[in-house]
Parts: sequence; structure tokens; C-alpha cells
Amino acid sequence: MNQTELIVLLQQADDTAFKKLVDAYETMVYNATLGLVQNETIADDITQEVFIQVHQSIGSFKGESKLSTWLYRIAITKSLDYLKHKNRKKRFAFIQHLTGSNHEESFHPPEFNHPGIVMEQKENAKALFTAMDRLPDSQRIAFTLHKLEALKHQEVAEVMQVSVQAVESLIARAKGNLRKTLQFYFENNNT
Amino acid sequence: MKTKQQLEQQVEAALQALDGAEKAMPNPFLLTRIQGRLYAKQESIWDKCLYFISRPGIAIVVVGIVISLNVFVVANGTKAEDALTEEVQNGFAAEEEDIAANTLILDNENIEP
Repeated sequence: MNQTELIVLLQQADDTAFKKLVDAYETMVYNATLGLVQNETIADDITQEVFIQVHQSIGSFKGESKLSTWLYRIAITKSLDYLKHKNRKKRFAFIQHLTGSNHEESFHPPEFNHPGIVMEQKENAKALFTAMDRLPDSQRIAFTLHKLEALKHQEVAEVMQVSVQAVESLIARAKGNLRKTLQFYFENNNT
Repeated sequence: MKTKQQLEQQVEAALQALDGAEKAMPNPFLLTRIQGRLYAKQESIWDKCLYFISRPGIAIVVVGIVISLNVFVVANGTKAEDALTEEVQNGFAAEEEDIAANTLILDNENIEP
């Protein structure tokens, strides 16, 4: 079954087609989300929401972009919504901490342990994910899609709806910022 | 104390930590959970409507609107009634004047020469 046939069947609310869609794209959506939100439970929840949205709005999909590109866009939007919500909560927790109304709430994020990273790289990956957490949204998306999802610059550009040059610039700036953060991290870390 | 070179090597190694990373596997029951959530969404539309209507805030607003409408209708009804009464009274007054005028005319006709 090709993509056009799959979309037609999905638009007819075909359950088998929906199952095929989930089977084909669940790993892709889950990994993109996991790279951005850095939490397996949240990534699982957002992946479910992505497919629910696809089920509900497949009628409006015009097929101008690839299905995978559309899925990436939904996954990124939902992940960013979650991150914005999390940052708001973090700021609120910080204010509570300053005012002394909530001493137990921690506003330091736990270190993320990606399940797909080999053992020897675990420590370095933890440091890198912590640094990625501080990147501006657009740099974070471009870097995650390119590094973790192994998308080419052209594909990242299609997902982000920007030019290839813009993607190259975003990745270069992301690397620069990551270098600075990692340098500071390793200077202050004895391991 | 780390040398600058050691630090740079460490940073470069960390930047390449994601190279060759394997894909993380999603929950094996993902499809079942999605289907469950889709079914729950379809089921709960009426539940949501009922829940929405029965919320105290909404109930108070609805009762307020109904009372306001009643007050408006009653107040308008009274005004209309007053206007009607005034019109009827004006009509009676005009009729009485006509009768009085006619009586005068009749009286003039009955005057004896």
C-alpha cells in the first residue's frame, strides 16, 4: 500500500489503515518526541496524542507534504507545547522557592538517560542532553532532527518549513552554544 | 585540573555522543492505548455536555439569564398594558366630547322660536 492509498483509507476512517499508520510511524514519532522532551513517559503520552490528532484531522491533510513530515510537525508542536508548560511550572516553582512557600519542589531537571545510547557514551550523552535542554527551540529542533533522527538538512528544512541555509545556520549555532555549555559543565565537573 | 586540550576533547566527545544511537522502542501497547483514548473521546461527548451544563457556575448563569428574561418580559408587558389603558382612556374622552358636542347641536335645533 503506498502513501496516497493509505491517506485515502485513513480519510475513510479505515481501522486497518490506522493500525498500519501507527505500526509504520510510531518509532519515528516516539524518538523525535523523546529527543525533545527527554522523558520516556511524557514522550509516550505525546506520541499517543499525535496519532489521535492524525485520526481526527486526517480529513484536512491535503497531501502537499509527505506524511512523515506532517507527523514530525505535529510531534514537534506538541512537544514544544509540553516544554512551554514545563518551563512555566519551573518558573513558578522557582518563585515559590524564592518566597519560601515551597521548599520541597525542585526546579532542577533530572538528567536524561536515552535508552538507545551505548553504555560507553551514557555519561557524555547525559551531559549533551542537559546542554540541549538549554538551547532555543528552533536550534534544539534542528539539532535533534539532524543528530538523533539522522535527517538530512533538506528534510529538516521541510519539517521546519525554512530554507536549507537556515537549517545549516541553526545547526551551526546550536553546536556553538552546546560547546560553550559543555565546556562550562566539564570545567565544573571532575569526572 | 584539566588542560585546555583535555577539555576540548571531552566537549567534542560529548557532541558526538548521539552518533550511532539506536532508536528507542515505543510502548508495545501504544496502539491499544490510542484506540482506548479515541473510544473514550467518542463516548464522552454527551457526558461532557452534561458535566458542562451541571457545573455550578454554568447553572447559576443559566438561572440568572432565565430570571432576567422573565423580568424583562414582565416589565415590557406592564409598559404595554399602561400604554393600552392610556389609549383606551383617550378614546373614551374623545367619544364623550363628541357626544357633548352632538347634544349641544341637538339642543340648538330644539330651541323654540
